[in-house]
Amino acid sequence: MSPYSGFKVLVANRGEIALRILRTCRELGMPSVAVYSDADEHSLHARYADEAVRIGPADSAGSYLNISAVIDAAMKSGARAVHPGYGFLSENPEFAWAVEAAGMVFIGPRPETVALTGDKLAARRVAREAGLPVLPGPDEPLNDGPIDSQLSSQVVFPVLIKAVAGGGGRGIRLANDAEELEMMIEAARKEALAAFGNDAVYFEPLVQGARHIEVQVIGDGEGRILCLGERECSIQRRRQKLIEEAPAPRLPETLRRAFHAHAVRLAEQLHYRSLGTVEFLLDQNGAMYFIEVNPRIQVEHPVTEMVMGVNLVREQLLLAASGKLYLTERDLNPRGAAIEARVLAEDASLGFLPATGEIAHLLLPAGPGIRVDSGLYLGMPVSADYDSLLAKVIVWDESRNRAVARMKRALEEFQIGGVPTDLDFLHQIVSSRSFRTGRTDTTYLDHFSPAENPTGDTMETDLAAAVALLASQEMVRNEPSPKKVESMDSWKYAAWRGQMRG
Amino acid sequence: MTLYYVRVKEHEYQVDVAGEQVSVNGKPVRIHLTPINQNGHFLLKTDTDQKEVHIQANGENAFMATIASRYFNIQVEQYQRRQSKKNPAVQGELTAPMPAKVIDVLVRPGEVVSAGQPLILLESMKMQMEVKSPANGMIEAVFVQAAAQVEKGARLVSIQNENPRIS
Repeated sequence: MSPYSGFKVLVANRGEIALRILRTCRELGMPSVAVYSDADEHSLHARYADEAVRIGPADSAGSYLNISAVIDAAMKSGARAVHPGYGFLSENPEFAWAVEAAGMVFIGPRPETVALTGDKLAARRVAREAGLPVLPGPDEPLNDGPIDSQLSSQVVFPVLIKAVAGGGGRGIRLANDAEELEMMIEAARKEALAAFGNDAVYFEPLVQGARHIEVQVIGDGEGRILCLGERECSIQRRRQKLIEEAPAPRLPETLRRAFHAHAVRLAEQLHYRSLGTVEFLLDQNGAMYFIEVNPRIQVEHPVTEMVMGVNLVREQLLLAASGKLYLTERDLNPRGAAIEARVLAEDASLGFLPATGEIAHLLLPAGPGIRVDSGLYLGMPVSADYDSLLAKVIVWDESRNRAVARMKRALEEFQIGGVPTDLDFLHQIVSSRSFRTGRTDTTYLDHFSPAENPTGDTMETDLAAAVALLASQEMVRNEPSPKKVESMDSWKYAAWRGQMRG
Repeated sequence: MTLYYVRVKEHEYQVDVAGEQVSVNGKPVRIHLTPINQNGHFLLKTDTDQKEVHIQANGENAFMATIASRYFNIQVEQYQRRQSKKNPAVQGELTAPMPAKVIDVLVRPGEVVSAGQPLILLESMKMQMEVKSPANGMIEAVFVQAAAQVEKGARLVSIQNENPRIS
């Protein structure tokens, strides 16, 4: 009997992260509850948990973002704690408060910390007070209405306009000159209002050619903070991370220590509880700037787990159950290098627009040093209701060079049919010289143009021949006396053909 | 023997299938397609390599395929060439695979042509493609002229198969 058999955890999320958390609950012997929308009734996370509760329609506003529905499900199932995952309600202080007000543990920071880090200007103020380097700019949001001439004359272009309630790269616009300013402020406000229900925005100078470096911390809520090293997430597209790694390559030891020290200092100041990430930019001159705190488990947390030999969600769950942080410095054994690539449902031929479909074929990469976190299964519908993340491929090896080679192998092994993905694009990025040598910044993908047909023409001609052959086999099948075709077992083919209808 | 127009991304291929004999744009290719399961998972072997491929029907005359991490939408149009002995007059009639504009007519009636030789140049959706002769033979008639707009299925040329008496 597990000591945690009375500690029932509700996971208020879906997809790969819900499954990832549920798996660790099972290892710890914690009973688990999944929640699902109508679109996710048959999803892997809903099937995996000990119990599953329907919380609303496919539209996440009525389900995964519906605070009262989630709290209701938790209360009715007798959950003792709620894990929010990432996205959805994970950074919503109202939700954190509601969980704790209902007598359950919010598996994350204290609600007031969630509120503070959610206000990007407040977080910046606290970071400055803690002695962290912060980008220059007023601590106040921009006023509504037209920009007054005095302010606009002070702006140094290019400038970023960021949502005060922002996060996840949304509600951010770049203005290159005074002419664009008004329009971009308007665009940022609109996106911020839609995404966060708050249209307040502020200015932040653009750091040119910056690398994105972030530090993973965990705190016991009493002031003890443990640093779990840094990650680099410079490979971004449209401000969305695509490839992440740990440790950051080519980072001088003095800078690495400075990043860690800054992150720990800020977390100490906040008496931080649970997992958190302190994000920074590193410019070409070696100057670092705090950007924000993410008060939750992050998509890219597995690279830290692989390099540190730690299960972060396990530590988070144990802390929630016991109030104690068992992890110590001695448990951390940094070794080798880890890389994560995000496999997304998107169509490269349509400018990487999110794609929909149904997973009709699936073969996951495996073998030494490879981990795949996903909620994929054969027959899974890929709909436009949720984000396009299908799977995360995480690799580890003794050195970064070897990890890059291993990632290439993993991406080559990964077979998904029925929906277009970015697998080929990811492969081209990790194969590029700049990535292999660790010389990338957050603008790398802006100029990255993959070779149109990297492997020559034979793939297309082979495919054309294969499809024509298949088309002709149907003709054969429809004839009164089908000719025997040696390469195709005709009954197998007939069954396959039958499956493809509808 | 059946002739297909296969469009892979923006490229158009003419594929001739006769049993296991396959040629692409008049060039014979050796491919061997073996189903691994009944869900469209195949092993595609050529003389030089082997790849796994997933091919799935995607509506009428369309397929989607994944091969080596790459995703392709594929359109297939079959040429209707009725090789009926009863009616040799229509033998070897080539039609437009889709609505298109005739850019150039490269042959004249009476001309002797060989398999794979371009006969008509068409343009559709801003892409040019050649209509090639599926076999050795003689041009019997040309039904279109340059700059004409043709509908899908419109007759372009008719070819008389190589006459054994002449050869």
